[in-house]
Amino acid sequence: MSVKNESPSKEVSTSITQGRTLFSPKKKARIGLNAINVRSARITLIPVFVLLFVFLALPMINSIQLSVSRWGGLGPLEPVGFDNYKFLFSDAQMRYSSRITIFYAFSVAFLVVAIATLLAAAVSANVRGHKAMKIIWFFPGIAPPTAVAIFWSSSFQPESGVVNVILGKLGLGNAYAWLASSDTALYPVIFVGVWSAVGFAFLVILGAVEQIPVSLREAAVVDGANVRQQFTKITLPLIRPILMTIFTLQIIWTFNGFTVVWAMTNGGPSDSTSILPILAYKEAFRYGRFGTAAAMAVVTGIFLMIVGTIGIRLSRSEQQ
Amino acid sequence: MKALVAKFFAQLGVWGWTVLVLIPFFFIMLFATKDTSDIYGKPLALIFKPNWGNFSGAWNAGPDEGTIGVWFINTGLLVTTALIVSLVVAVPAAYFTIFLSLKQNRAVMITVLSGTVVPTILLVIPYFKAYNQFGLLNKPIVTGVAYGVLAIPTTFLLMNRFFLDFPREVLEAGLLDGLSNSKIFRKLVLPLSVGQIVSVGILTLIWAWGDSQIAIVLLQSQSAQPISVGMLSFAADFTTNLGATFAGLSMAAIPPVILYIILSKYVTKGIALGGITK
Repeated sequence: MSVKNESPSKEVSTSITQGRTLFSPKKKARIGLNAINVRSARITLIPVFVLLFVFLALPMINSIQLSVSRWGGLGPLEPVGFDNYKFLFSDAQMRYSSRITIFYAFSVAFLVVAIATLLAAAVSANVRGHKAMKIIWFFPGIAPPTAVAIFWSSSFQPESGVVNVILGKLGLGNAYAWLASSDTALYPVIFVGVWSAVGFAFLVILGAVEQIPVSLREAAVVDGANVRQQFTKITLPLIRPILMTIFTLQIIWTFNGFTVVWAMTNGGPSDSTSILPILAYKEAFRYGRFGTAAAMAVVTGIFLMIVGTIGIRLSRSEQQ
Repeated sequence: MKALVAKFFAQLGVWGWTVLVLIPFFFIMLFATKDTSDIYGKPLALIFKPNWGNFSGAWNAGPDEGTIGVWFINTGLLVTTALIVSLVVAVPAAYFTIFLSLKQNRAVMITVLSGTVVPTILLVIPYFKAYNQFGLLNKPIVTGVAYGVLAIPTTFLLMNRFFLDFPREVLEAGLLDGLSNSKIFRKLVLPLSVGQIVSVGILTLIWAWGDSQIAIVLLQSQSAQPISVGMLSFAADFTTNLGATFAGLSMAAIPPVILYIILSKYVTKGIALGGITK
């Protein structure tokens, strides 16, 4: 083990975390430092893998097992083959929920990345007050999602809600009951999803923007590029891989996002905002149909795995 | 001229977003001290007779007096357990893993990384089944263990990345001074890693404080709920007493924000370092 560490080959060491080298070639690690520590590594990794196995791998296997069974919350599982899946694929609510979940996740992810990129571009151009804004913009990511979701859902109430009051003062009418109608309830939910997620994406994207060498932008200025051209021709192409990564992760997070939707609408009115995690939760814990709920979870998991794989592939190919 | 216009719109955009970000916090605090009739009657008025009774109203909401206090204690127990589990398990492992060969370190990283993308929805039903089977439902500390384990991958990856960049000279100096390997870790490495541990810990804290998806399943009885779940029923009960609802929201939302303002340096650093694995 230690022999390997003493002669790190360049290519391996750069491949590990984007150019961070584990050992610089000059300072070779001592055998004494390594031999005992390798044993410590094995010992300390045991609880990591045991816990991850118990809390991640086993439940996943269990979910798959549940998804081919009938289970009401008590007693043994009753195997039913693929009945749960057959039911799901013929169920109108399931089809509707899948559609709005995809719509919800993609629109939130798109808006988050777009707004966060514009904000990062503005801050990196040193707009006034940018230091304080960097801190303030992450408030929505810090506050408990339940609390902000309850606030926003109260503020979307017609007439008395803050949003309607402000719109009324601006002369735009104050009687919008978005959350009460199946046709419009999803839009306030998308808004709150975006509102709470931009801060995080902004910080990550800003980190990428700030890594662009100043000399590149200066060269563009010398060539006569204006602010917009600097942004579209230099900044944007260079941060595209990170944008792709954030977009993918945001889809996965929003797809999984239970709290905001649950606290705002409980999935209603009449299941019009029941995204898949909410539908599965209700199926299991309201109606006691744990088998179908598990099948929904498995379908969701497979879909997210596909999205994740495509996303990672795309951001990898962007990097090259 | 064009540049000026662009600058103007950039300025307008960032101020507009800042206002939008602050609106809920402003109104939650404003309404927390307003009488319910004033919230309906003159919501935007800044001059009004404060009604501090909202806070006692919120405190005494729920089935028993002081339920909200119990929820805070439950959140505290849950979050503390999650932090202890994730840090105690992941930090030493993340450190000692750097001594494995690069290939092995990479293999460990990839295995752990795959743990960050498992959808929560795949976990909650089996958790419920298992916790129920072993009689562990409605125990905030035991639920905190699940949160802690789910935070291990992110904690491990961020700490591992940090330790890989740790100056080797420091470790070698410790060895020359005759310190044992575990002493090097405890006496030299840990004190120098406090900043990074705080950064990573805050990410876990924010998540465990705010999440409701796991807690709503494992902590169903009202006296066992954390604030993130308790507030749901609380807001539904209190449509007639909005003032108390907002007082409750402010109690739940303001402490993490204040903690963040104090420690914002660490939070932004933690995210810049690769919080995208969370």
